[in-house]
Amino acid sequence: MRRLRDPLLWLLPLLLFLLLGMPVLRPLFAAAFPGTTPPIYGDDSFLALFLSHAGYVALSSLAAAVIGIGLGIVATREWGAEFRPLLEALATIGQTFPPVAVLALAVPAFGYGPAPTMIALTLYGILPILKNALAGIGSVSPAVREAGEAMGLTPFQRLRDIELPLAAPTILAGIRISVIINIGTAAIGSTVGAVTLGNPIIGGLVNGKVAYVLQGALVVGVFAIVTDLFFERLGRRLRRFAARD
Amino acid sequence: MIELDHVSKSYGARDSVSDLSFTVDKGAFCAVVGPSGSGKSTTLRMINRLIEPGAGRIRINGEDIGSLPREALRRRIGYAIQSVGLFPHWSIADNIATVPRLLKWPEERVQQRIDELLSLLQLNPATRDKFPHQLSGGQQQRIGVARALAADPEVLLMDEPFGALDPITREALRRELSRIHQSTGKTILFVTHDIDEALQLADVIAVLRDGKLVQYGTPMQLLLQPANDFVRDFMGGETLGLKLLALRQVAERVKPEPVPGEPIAPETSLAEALSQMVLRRTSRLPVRSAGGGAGGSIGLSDLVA
Repeated sequence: MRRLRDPLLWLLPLLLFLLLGMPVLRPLFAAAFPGTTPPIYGDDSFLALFLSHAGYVALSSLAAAVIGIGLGIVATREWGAEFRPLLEALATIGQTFPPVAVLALAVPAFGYGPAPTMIALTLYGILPILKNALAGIGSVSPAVREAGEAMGLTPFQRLRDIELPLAAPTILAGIRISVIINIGTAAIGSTVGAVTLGNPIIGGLVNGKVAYVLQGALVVGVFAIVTDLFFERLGRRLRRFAARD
Repeated sequence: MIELDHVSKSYGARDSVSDLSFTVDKGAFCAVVGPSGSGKSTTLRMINRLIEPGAGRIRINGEDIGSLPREALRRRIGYAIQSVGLFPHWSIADNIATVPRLLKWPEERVQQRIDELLSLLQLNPATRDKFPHQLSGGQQQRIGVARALAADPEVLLMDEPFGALDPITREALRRELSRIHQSTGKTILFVTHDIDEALQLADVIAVLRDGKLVQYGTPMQLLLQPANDFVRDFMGGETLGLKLLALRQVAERVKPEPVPGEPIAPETSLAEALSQMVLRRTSRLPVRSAGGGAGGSIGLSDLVA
């Protein structure tokens, strides 16, 4: 019975329904918004918008994770320790910069289309991951580090077998923040020429078609929640293996 | 055998260890004592090259440790510290197996070794699959010692391993370490600031002050012929006589004059005998004979003889 209380169990089917079955809701939207024709956004299918949107988020988050974790590793090595204060400041200050502003700044630099969105998402996505990688690797206790070294683990073995597994829950939390922010920011990417679930929202706003705004927002919202729940579940699984001393 | 040969290490202008030379014989238990900042931990950590010596040579069984790759050297040396440093995400079995696995022992032998060590450290076999945070501080330190012993190292380095434990657990672990030392014959270098711990465990004691060796000798030599006032004070000052009594056994002083009462064992320390005399309000205690024959006794005046 407890499994039924898991929100993922009904939110995931809801997302699938919204992506594939939106036309079923046509009478509902037609009744609620009689002036809108067609009542369902039809320039692209929601599935196509979703796949493109999710693609942006996945690619940019993957790149952000590789760069963020990589920089986090470098700054926590003995030879890279000089970079640490700089990167820490950058990650903290950078995150106070609104993601929309990053997107806006990417346009004059890279023009319209998918490029500025990808770049803005990646750059902004690095920050929370880097911050958490620094915190996670930095929080491995000095005793554990010393023991690893004294047992004769090589620097690479210490990183792979001790530091990264212990930092994994914290790093994952950073990736989670990054992905969730990017799902939202990618929607705004529609304004600069990226094809995302923001298309019906932006198009609806521009043309005064509230029904489209509602449809787009509903899909983006459920997508974000499902993703967040998925990360929460993954995090719980990781923490079970990495109980702190 | 561990040889330190004119070893120095300085941080900035300050010498942490300067011109340190001493030799610990194979199978000996050497305590390195001294006040905080005397360089005792630095000395220990130079032996497994957690710190590289600034000058001088360190040899283990005649081999210069500088000539070995660091990781290979460390896998041959057991290391246990006060804060233990068990890997929190590994089971107890995996923690113990750290060095054997690094040395690529066959898995069967690794498993067998884990069982051996759990029984050597008198730990429940069910501890195997637990995680460090599920154990008490004393149990964690036992695992720390088991991990240090796992690959049967020639040398065991210990840095105040029992410093954070309660007195009862600490005493139990000291006894066990003493027993393990006797049964395995490992060369042990043991850092402590607790002189009683050093006197109880060590065959030989190195007294450090400001990074220099002040005196090196057996507990008896340090108590009877302290090199200077610093050593005398460090060994206990006014209570030095009592420490001396703690090192000697009743058996050395027993007289063939039986007296009534509950006999004490011949291996009781003279300090404990004195304590018993005070408690029983008597100046002569019966002593059980070692062989089982007629016992003897020990008197107050025998303690000072």
